[in-house]
Amino acid sequence: MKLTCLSEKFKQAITYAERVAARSTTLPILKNILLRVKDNKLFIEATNLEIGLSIVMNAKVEKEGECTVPSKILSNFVSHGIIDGNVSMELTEHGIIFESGTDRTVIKSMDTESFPILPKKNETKNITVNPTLLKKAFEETVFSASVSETRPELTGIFISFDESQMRFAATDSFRLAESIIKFTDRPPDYDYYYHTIKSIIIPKNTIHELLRIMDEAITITVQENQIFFESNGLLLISRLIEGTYPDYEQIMPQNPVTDIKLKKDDFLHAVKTSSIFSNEKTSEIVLEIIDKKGVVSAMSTEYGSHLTELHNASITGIDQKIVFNPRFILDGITQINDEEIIISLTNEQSPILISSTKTAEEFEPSFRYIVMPVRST
Amino acid sequence: MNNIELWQSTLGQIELSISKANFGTWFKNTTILSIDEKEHVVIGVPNGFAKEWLENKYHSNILDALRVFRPQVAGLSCAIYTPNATKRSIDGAQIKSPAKSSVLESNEKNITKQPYQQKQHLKSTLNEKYLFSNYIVGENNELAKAACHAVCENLGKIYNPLFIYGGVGLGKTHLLQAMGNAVLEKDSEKHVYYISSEKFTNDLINSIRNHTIDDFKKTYQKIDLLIIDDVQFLSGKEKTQQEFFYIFNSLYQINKQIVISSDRPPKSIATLEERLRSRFEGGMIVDVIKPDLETRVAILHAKARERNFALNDEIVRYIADNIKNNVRELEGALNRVMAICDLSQKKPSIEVVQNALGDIIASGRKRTVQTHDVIDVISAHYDVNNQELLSKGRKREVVKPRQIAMYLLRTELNLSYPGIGEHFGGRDHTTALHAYEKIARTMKDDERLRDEIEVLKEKIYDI
Repeated sequence: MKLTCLSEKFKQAITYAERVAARSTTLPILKNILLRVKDNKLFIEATNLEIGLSIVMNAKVEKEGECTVPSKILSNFVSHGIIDGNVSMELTEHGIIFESGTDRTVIKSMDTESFPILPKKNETKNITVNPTLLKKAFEETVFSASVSETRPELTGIFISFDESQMRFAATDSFRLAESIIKFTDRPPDYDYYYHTIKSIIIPKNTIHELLRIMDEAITITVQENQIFFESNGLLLISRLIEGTYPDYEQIMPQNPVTDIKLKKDDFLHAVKTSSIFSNEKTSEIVLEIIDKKGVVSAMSTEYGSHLTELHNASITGIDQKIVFNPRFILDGITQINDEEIIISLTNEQSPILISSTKTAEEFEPSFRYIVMPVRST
Repeated sequence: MNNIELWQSTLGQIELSISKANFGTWFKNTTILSIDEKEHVVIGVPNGFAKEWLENKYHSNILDALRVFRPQVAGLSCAIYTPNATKRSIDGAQIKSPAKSSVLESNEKNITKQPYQQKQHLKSTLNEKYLFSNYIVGENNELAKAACHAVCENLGKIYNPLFIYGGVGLGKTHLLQAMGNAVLEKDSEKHVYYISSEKFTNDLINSIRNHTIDDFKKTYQKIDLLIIDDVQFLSGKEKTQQEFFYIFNSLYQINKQIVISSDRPPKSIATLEERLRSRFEGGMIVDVIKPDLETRVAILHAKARERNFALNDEIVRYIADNIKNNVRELEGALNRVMAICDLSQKKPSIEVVQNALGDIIASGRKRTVQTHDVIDVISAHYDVNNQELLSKGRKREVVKPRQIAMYLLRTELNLSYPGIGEHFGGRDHTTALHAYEKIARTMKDDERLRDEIEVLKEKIYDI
């Protein structure tokens, strides 16, 4: 194995791969990154058996070959030890030799015999989605996924392939975020996903990795419990989570009776400041609507209290008093890309719905966020 | 050999030929999904990585191993499947089979199937050596025994539930088991169920895991006398408490007798749900306290007679004098004396007994406790600080803890009154005397204070 390639690209690829390689495992080979030179290209692979990543890059190849290198060492070396321009590698019996500028480095390598084989994609039906939209839809939902493993299906992002839209949702049962991408033209092959696949749940870690590496158009393929994301020489493979996702449409507020329309920043300010005085353990702040006037407040027996009147809000509907956890509200509001937001209330026991004033357009996913109120005692 | 067995045997073969890490990584959660008529085996694997790996790297290993048990196997492939779904159905099958077999076993004469099973249960839980006739009654347990007797005569009609509490080794279990045996002796058709709360919890957990919770509940509804031992272990287990509450209620409503024991009264069991607590308190609560000297002597005599071992009064008196806290220790001491006499072929004499018990008595836990242990426990328990407790201040918050501290120093460490006074900022010995007497007097009437002192003692000896 002997080749020369661009330092910049190599660096980037190794950084991505290092994140995917297993941290600790019973199978030590998983901590390695595989380098393979074949057909005038350099293939870089890493996996922790949950997620697999394969990166293809162009290179000037003199001799084909393959080896694996410990990911920690390689990524540390790559991020500090190779200078811009070109880097050349050669596999010898002592290890793999890197030459970059005036440096010469030997990293001990291992053979590829026991390195896992990444699953192969046989399915040809796939969908290509606008990367900005997809990225947004994932970003808007992934933070709501559950961190607790008690209900595995909640630890992932749910995607439903509806007739003319893709519905993304995540919840940890305290709050739920939903983002919808509408199609004007359905992508080819979408019918297969609409009729046969119907819905999938992707582990949230996969989404975190994907968000880091995706830049250009993304092609999604679902095959046998696995999902393949392809984008510009990158291939990210992940298992899917089995299970039935809760039919969350049931808990979406159907007929909210009070609507508050206000500037996002005003509400952020009110919630953030109040949260300082919310009890650390229970973490509660109160939103109260009295006679078309809104007040956000919190009181701590230990430290004091705070109150913000929502002056510039336009409020319709009846009086309300709702207790909620400020952290959940803040998580959701920061995802809204709009100057104004609408908060819809039903009663003190029903979820609070927060949405943007904009409706879904072609380049903007529509976003809804609901938070369960804290039951007042 | 069915598919599951075939795969288990195959895995056994493969495990020998590859490393443990590889085996664990690649063969976990695998199974045989199907074998078709052409002898092509489909192996279910949990993910794509395992699929690629088994098909490419271990293909021949697996094939060889399979052929050991099923030579006609032609080929194999892998498919991704969800372990959970399949596992559940396997579990289901497993649950059914033992139930079936027990029904078959219970196929016996005049008794119907269900009660027979019940009796089987109870035989294993009741120990026949515990009887009312060999229970020594003293002032300490008179009331408890009378209550138990009365309950046995009138199941479910008086004192329901009966709650018995007392420290370790004072005979609660003996009483409970004796009740069960007495009831059965009178009427062997009755369903008596003796269970420790620990086992109750385990059974509940198992039934939840095996999805047999309904059966679990049904078993309990057929019981005439339910005896739950050491109920304090339910403390903190919410789900168990909840299930127990339902069972309790359903039995209670149809006037079935419930008997409960614990090492402390219901209100001292921390994190016991309020509704359970109030139900426990709704019947009769009796306590079993430490036996007095006469009772201890009587117990020793009875135990010695039971085993045909001759002891003179002096020896019995010596043992009873030195071992005060607990009947089980008393029995232990007697056993030791007997063993040593047997082994060394000596006649039991006071010297032999002193030697035999020397280290038991000497290592009695009281000696190891220091003054500051007592002070620390008290100040932690009442949340007052050490200095304040030892100072001259007469704040209300520290007065009672201080008196209790003095009382405990007197009773547990045997300090002199002037010595105690010295500890507490050079007080007069009369102050210490007053404190001791006051606490001792109040304790007689104030059950709460008694509990508190018990709790404190436990804490002190825990150190």
